[in-house]
Amino acid sequence: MLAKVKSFGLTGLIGYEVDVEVDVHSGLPGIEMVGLPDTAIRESRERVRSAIKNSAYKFAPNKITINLAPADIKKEGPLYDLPIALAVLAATQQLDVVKLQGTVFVGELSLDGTIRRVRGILPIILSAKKAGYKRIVIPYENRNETVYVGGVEVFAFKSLSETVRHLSGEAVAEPVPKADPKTLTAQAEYAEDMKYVKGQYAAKRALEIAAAGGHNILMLGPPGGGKTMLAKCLPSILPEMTLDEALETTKIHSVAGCLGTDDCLITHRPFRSPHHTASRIALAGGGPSARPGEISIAHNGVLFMDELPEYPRVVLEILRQPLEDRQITVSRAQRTVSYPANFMFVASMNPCPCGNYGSSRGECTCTPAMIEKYHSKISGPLLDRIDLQIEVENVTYDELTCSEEAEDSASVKERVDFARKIQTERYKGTQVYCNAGMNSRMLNEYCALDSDAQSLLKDAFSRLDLSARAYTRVLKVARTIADLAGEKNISAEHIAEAVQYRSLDRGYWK
Amino acid sequence: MGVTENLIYYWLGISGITSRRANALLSNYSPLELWEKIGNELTNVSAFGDKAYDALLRYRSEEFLTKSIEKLDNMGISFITYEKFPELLSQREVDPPMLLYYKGDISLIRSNCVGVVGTRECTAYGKEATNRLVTDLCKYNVTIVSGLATGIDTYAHRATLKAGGKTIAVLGSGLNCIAPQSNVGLSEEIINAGGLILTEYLPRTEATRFTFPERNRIISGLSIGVIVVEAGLKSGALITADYACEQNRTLFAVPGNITSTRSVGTNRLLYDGAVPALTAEDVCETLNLSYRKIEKNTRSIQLDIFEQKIYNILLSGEQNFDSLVFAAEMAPQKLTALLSLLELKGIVKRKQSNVFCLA
Repeated sequence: MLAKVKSFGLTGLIGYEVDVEVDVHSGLPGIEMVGLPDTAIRESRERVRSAIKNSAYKFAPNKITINLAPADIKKEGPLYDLPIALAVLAATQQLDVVKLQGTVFVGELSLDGTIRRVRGILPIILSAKKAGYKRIVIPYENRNETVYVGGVEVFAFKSLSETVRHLSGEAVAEPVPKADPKTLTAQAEYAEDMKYVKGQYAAKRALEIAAAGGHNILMLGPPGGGKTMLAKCLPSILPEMTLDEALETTKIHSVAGCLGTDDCLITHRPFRSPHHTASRIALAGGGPSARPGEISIAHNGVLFMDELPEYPRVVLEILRQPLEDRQITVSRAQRTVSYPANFMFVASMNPCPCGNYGSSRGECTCTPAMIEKYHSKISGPLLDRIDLQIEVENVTYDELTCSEEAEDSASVKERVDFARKIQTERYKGTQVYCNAGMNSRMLNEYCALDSDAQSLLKDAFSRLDLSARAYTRVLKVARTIADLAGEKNISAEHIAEAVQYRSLDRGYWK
Repeated sequence: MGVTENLIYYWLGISGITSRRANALLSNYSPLELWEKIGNELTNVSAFGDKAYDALLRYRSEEFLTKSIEKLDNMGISFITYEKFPELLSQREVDPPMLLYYKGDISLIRSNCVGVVGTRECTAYGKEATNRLVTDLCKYNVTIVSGLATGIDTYAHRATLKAGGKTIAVLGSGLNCIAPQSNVGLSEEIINAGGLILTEYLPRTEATRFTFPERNRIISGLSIGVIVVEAGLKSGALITADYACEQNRTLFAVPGNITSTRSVGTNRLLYDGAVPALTAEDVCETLNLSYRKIEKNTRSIQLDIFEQKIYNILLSGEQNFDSLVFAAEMAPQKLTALLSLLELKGIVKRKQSNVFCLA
């Protein structure tokens, strides 16, 4: 007899329907599986057989053919165990086929019949909802991911027998309760707070500007200056995530498999700091199944690269395109997948290999050639995409132990929110969402300078050794500074501040 | 018509005879005597050196020498011989070479030259000191002589070019084998800016560890004074300093921190009696250069009260940004903007690591 069950597969973040068809017929006992399954699915026949037996159902000693349609897409992962088991039960008349209709099933089975957690539940549910399904059965451990998705009934079960009892009407379960999206805000709490950073006024101000305008930022300084700590504070002053942003980020985390059991939705802006041994694939995404990389996991958050010149150049260069396009397309022989990658890029580096060049605290042992080589590891085009370049010097002992508490993240965030609101208004109806993303037309329109500011900028270029590429960067940063001050026009004062955030352009590094 | 002096010096120069031997011979014989007597009356091989003696005999033909000069010409390389050297360079203590190959403006060797040398492994301080001294020296029309090595040498040349001054680079290699490779571009810039690069070595001579110390005597020989900016205990710049003393040049050294390993050599020079190089004015005065004191820009620049406040704070010495925030009791953003303005007015200078000082 034939039974059909609906399930879903994933290409990147987009789900597609999979029909799990099971036919039980006479012949030599055995299980045949067709429809381009990968190894994990091929092995599912063993799991399904044991799970059915150990859940006190019968596994008929017949010829069983399993087909995963559409047959031309390679399917992967263990998420078809549950639909296959249910289809087998239905095909052997242990369950009514009618009860299975209109419901999507996903889940991995363990040998004793319990349903295990799988990756990618959130994107699957969103796709199923879009495809018009009203009911979906998922593993119990994945239930938290689904609470913010309305318009679809989600049932989360712990075992195969529980699922069957529910479907046959023996013990009907309630769907997973929904949570109110309004509870989303004010949830985020961050371990690092600006108030714990002593001194570093220039750096903190630069971070505030970076957060307000979505600017990428590079911090330059000797080891132990607090660059990493400053970077970790950044998520705490970024604006709250909207529900859409949170869902988008959670989707990626769900697919990447880095969601905890208790996480329902990622409400913290992600802070990713891949180690400098990370490969290109790890950063950009890829592998046979085109999984998302670090830059996508950092979507709507911060990608922090500590000791930037230590990364291999090929790894750094892959950042160029996503920094421009805000997404990355991963192409592999089997599939081509686009992942969003809208992150703030934060990098830190020492001024030289030994870390002490120009520092007042230690003697630098590097030769000029070594320093030049160190700096040349970061290509011009990458530097072009970094709006703010600041220097972070070690804090003194007195500053460290000073009891006076610095301004906390919450009050900085208020100013950031204020500036962001102006920008949202300004870029309404465009693809751009903050000052860092301005194109040349917008630059002309929104960064018009009065004659005072104009002459100051001209002066700055000739006297402060700024390179030509700094020009648009300075303008964008000045725009954000003006927004923070709530002013409509960029004044000379804003320009004057902005030119100080171009440390690497200044002649003293060459 | 007999062979010219110029040709004889050229002949001596390309033979590879050491300048010490050549100078010794020239103190006893006139150039023409050397040309005529070698091989017959003058058969004392050890006075010439084995190889040089053979070479001298082989090259002793006007035709050959003229052709050789033509070849040089084709390579775009000019030469100047001993008899045309300025007085400073032809002093006996300098041990002058017979011949110098050059590209660029040769008249510079008769200008007021000051050598600026230092370690290849310089620090940020050394770089700043070089920039400061060289930029100011250029204002007094001093020609900066250095060795085109990395570190202080490079900064000295670059600062001169930036200040629009003239500079001479004395190479430790042939003109066609400029070392280090990274400074080939700089050598071209020097020539294009009306400077001079010169060397005593044949165009295809590679630099060795012996040629660099050797050329140092020419750096000091060309100069009326030599400034050592930064030098560790074993720096080659100290060799130049030794030459400068032997040649009776005024030796200057830039004082450094006693804790810095790159200033041990210079501080030791100061202890031994070198003149501290504090400002370009001092250097010029010590060297008796007639210089027109450049008036400090006394035109009073109008400062508002905030700017005045920062100026007053910085009067007591350089400060980093954080301490300025405290001292000025100002919001960081306002302070940053103010510092920019002061920088543009040329009152404040920003250094590495967020440190600000009066310009």
